[in-house]
Amino acid sequence: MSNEELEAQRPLRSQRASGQQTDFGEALGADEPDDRELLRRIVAQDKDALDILYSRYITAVYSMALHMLKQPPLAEEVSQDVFMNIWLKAASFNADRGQPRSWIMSVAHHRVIDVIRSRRRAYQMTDPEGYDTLERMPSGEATVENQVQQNLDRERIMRALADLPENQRQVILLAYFEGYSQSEMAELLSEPLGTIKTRVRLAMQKLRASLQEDDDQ
Amino acid sequence: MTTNNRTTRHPFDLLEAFALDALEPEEELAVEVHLEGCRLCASLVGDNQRVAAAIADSVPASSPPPALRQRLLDSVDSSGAEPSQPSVSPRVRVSQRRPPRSWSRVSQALATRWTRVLGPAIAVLALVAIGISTALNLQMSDQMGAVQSENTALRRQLDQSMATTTALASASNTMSQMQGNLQRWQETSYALAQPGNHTLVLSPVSPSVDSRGVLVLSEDGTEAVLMASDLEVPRPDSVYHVWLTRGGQWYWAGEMDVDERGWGTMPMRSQDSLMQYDSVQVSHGTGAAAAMASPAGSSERAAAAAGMVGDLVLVATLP
Repeated sequence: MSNEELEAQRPLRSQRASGQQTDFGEALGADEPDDRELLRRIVAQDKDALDILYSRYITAVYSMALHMLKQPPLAEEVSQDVFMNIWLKAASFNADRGQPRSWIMSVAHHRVIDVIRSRRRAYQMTDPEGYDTLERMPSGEATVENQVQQNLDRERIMRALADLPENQRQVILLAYFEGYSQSEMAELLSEPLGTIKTRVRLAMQKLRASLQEDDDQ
Repeated sequence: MTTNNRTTRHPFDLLEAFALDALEPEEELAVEVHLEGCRLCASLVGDNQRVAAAIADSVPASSPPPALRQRLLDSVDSSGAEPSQPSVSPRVRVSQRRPPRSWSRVSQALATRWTRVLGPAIAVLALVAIGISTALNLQMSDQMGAVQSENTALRRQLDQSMATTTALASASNTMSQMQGNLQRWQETSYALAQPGNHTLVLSPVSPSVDSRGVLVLSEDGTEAVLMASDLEVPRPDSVYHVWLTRGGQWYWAGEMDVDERGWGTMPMRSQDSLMQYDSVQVSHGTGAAAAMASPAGSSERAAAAAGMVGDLVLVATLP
């Protein structure tokens, strides 16, 4: 997405929903259970709680899986695995380590990365030449019209990513969406490992600051 | 924070990559273990995972097929109610091989009425079949040998991997322990620095003992830190016990950790003031002695006979 496109979406910011928020930033009704409550109920084997959590997060999980794996059947299988894992391992959620939403997406990302890495090992498919991070950035054409909040979340992370220096954005995208470890990126980009580590740290710190700044506004 | 031993350091430089799943497996394992005992790093990882989750928002939204929900709920039903039950990949199938048909059954089949008519021909055919079978068996035997050899090599590699994993886990455990020690030291230092503390010197019970000790009591007496030096290094079967006495009764207060330098430390906490006791004493004995007495401060205090205490080492009179 270009900066012009990002600018065009800017007025949406003023539409940010108010009221009770989930960890995702999505608005919740007053009587809807929050994610922590749902996880507690899942630990107690409450299937309805899993169903609600599924409704809340399946789009985010499936979208990520599909974007990274490119194959709908595989993305479905992985998404099912993720929620099955949440069903079986909800007790391992540790509130010290952040919000439920972060944990759920972390579980999902970990699972997708496992598939990508095993596939890469199987096919030895590595093509570093001509890797264009901007092309890998998702376009804004397929945004869901009725999900204003999702658009807003997407807009702000796209802006934060766009604000990163090219080489920092590159390592973030390679790591997060392509499943490269820092060592693999060093080899892929023919850069010293220390340089890659520094870029990853700086990029994450800038993203964190940028998102925080957005939250504060 | 101590930086002499690298294992005690917070892995701050790995936390961002951890949230991106971009660490090597051994680094990831080390961070995971560290996070078990470090709330600071756990919190930082939470911040970074929030950023990582936000990166996922950059993906265009796609809707899964509605049937996926039912498939998930069906999987939940079929998984049973055990939360720890692992999911089984439907793609994994173990082939069920039938045992080879035995030659005795072949021979039995051959002994039918046909044998009377076609006996000689069948005998020749049977010999040919046996010959072919022998040749096939030899060939299969060679292949089996190759497979077994390959299995042995794979098993050796697996053993090596397991050994590496074990070593890593051990190193990680050490790191976790060091982290725990460090945290205890931080708490101890904080307690020691409080104004209004009472300081008592623990003296050796006999001139032959070189040990010395200090008990630092909080102003209200509910918290204390006992430190001792030059203690005899405990044997594998022995421990140092700390006792509180009052009116001739002995109350077990706990075990004191003593390291290989003879340095012992034990933080103490009690709902009641420790100053209501007459003395604090340190003894060196077997672990079984402590198990026979109840902890001080509990409602089931039980006096410990002097014989259970072991060898007294240090003593101080409480104010």
